[in-house]
Amino acid sequence: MTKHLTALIPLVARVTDASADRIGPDTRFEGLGSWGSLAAMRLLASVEREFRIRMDLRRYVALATVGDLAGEIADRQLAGSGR
Amino acid sequence: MSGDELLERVRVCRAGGGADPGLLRELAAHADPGLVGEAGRRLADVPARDVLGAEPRGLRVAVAGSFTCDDVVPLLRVALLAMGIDPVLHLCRSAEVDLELADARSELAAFAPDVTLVLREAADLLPADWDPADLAGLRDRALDRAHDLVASAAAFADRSGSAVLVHTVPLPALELRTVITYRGAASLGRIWREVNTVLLDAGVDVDGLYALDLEAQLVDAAGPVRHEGRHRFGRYGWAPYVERAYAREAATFCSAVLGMGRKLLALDLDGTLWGGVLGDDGVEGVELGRLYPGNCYADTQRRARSLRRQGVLLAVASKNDRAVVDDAFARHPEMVLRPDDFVAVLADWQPKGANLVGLAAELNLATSSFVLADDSPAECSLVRRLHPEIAVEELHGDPAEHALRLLESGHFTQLAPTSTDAGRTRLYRDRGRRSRLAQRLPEREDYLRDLEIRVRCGPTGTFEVPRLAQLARRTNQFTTTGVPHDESRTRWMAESDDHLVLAVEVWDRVGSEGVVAGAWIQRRPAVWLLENLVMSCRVMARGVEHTLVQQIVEHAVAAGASTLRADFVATGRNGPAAGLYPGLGFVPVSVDGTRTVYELDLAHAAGLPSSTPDWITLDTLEQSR
Repeated sequence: MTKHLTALIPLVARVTDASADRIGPDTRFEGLGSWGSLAAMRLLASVEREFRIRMDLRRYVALATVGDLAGEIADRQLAGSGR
Repeated sequence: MSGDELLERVRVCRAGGGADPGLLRELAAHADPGLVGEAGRRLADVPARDVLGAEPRGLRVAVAGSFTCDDVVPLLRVALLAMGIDPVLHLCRSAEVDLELADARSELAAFAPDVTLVLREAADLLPADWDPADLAGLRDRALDRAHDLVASAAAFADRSGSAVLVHTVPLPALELRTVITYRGAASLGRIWREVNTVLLDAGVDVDGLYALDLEAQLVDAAGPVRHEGRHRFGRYGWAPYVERAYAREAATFCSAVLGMGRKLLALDLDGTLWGGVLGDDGVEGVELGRLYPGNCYADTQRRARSLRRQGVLLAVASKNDRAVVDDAFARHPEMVLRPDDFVAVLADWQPKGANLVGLAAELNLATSSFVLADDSPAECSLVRRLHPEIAVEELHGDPAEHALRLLESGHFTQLAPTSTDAGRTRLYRDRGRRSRLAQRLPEREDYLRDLEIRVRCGPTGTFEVPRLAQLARRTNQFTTTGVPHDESRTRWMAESDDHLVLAVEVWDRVGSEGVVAGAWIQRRPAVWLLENLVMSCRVMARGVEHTLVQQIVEHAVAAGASTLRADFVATGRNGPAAGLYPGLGFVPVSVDGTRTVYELDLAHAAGLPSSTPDWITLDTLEQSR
């Protein structure tokens, strides 16, 4: 999870043009400057590319914080590796 | 270089840290479309010359897509800047491409683009309810649609003088898999090629219209054309790598429109036109011929000859002894290029850049119309550094890939052959199948009437609450306050006697758009307060919002209210909604920062004509609560 968070934060920073050192697990997407559905879709694409996973969109759109997303990514990767 | 380092260089440029001519080249070559897009987004507010360090060519480029293509725009910006073009980019907010093209008063027309990029997806050509058991019917409808698309694009090109780029449309796997028989799938495949052929035909010789064979380009790309999740969630027509591929091709098109296609290809010899070192290996010893790797070099020569046959000048730029070089061209039996293929043979020990500058002066050409193809990284980097205007194609590594690398950047792209038939284009005249749109000067109202729009506007039912709350949450552009009511609040208001939540459903001749607009209203005896109004951008520019407000007015008048009050809060992104209330006769009564409170005097409004446009039919079917 920490590993995922470390890799995720720069992606969130890129999409929202926020500074990476101001993003942590408790950061809420809604509170980030340019967050919106377009930014959410861009983040989705970069997460799927970076972590080589396919997200379940129903779960993705319900995630509120960066930490939630890191956790979801970890779950997806475990599921993908055939746990 | 890592993505974040590139973004840091973008940040430095934005902060006025000086030009960085190599930055755009690196971005244009970067593998991650997401990263390139973020860079392009950040570059939007930097003057191009501050990044490039050279005076760019300006160009007004419009993107009109029938699907969500916001992410194409920054990719396009990077690709254009990398080519030395400073674009003013306009993204049509409405997905009604035909309307944007047809309406002389559309935002697109007002933008007056030099280049108009028209982006389509399969749904524009395939009816949603196509019947795999009636492929003949499908063929008729799809071909009609294709002719309509061409007609509206051609009419726009004709009227505006803009160069319009259409593209062939890939058929999503899902559609092809919907047919279960081999014969049926073959028929569908053939129909689809016919449809794309209509688009390509237009690109061959219709005045002002050009076609990009995107479907063929994507054969080489790995992965599905669209991401099903993004498509269904936000109507994204293309996966990011397709957006990237399109942006590159579209940028090349723009450079061709500007006549920036390069005119001369300077070729190195050793390691470029043949393998090995002529001076050391001798004419007999160089690799050139039918077997690998000699066949790769022979192919590079053939491709160069193909360029020459299309009007590109060839020159040799090599560090070699002239006599040895002449001997090789004269004697080697597998040599494809011959001395008279070259306008100049610069084989000496002078710096290549200086040689090319001399050649340019001699030919009265600018070095910015030159391309150098060379296998030596040192030569390449030297020329890049001293003569950044010369495009350098570094042909290192496996020679099997050299020929493709030389051609895929599109350096030499022109709009049409330079031969005599180049100027002979036709106006689009289709044998009787032409759409009404193109038969006379199209009017927006005619188009909208053709759509046969029906609107149902009623109190929100239980099943519509989640969709309406979702719509409110997702809408950033057409929202009057930017503050969405969540699902529980919406449900509570829908069930409360002191409130009214209206849901708007829209149909057109193609099918239902579903719930696409809504309004949250507080009703007090004398004053009704419109707390928020949202509408999906999918139905923008159809007058749906006016219909909705008209309905609210009628409800309020019927309930005996005297005033309809409405809040508008500017969010920075909801510009499209800013004109709604003033346009309907609401008067601002107070302004507080970004918030404006409007009021409409209902006694007065009741006497006015309906603001529901006449092309909209109201569906009065009452929704049961």
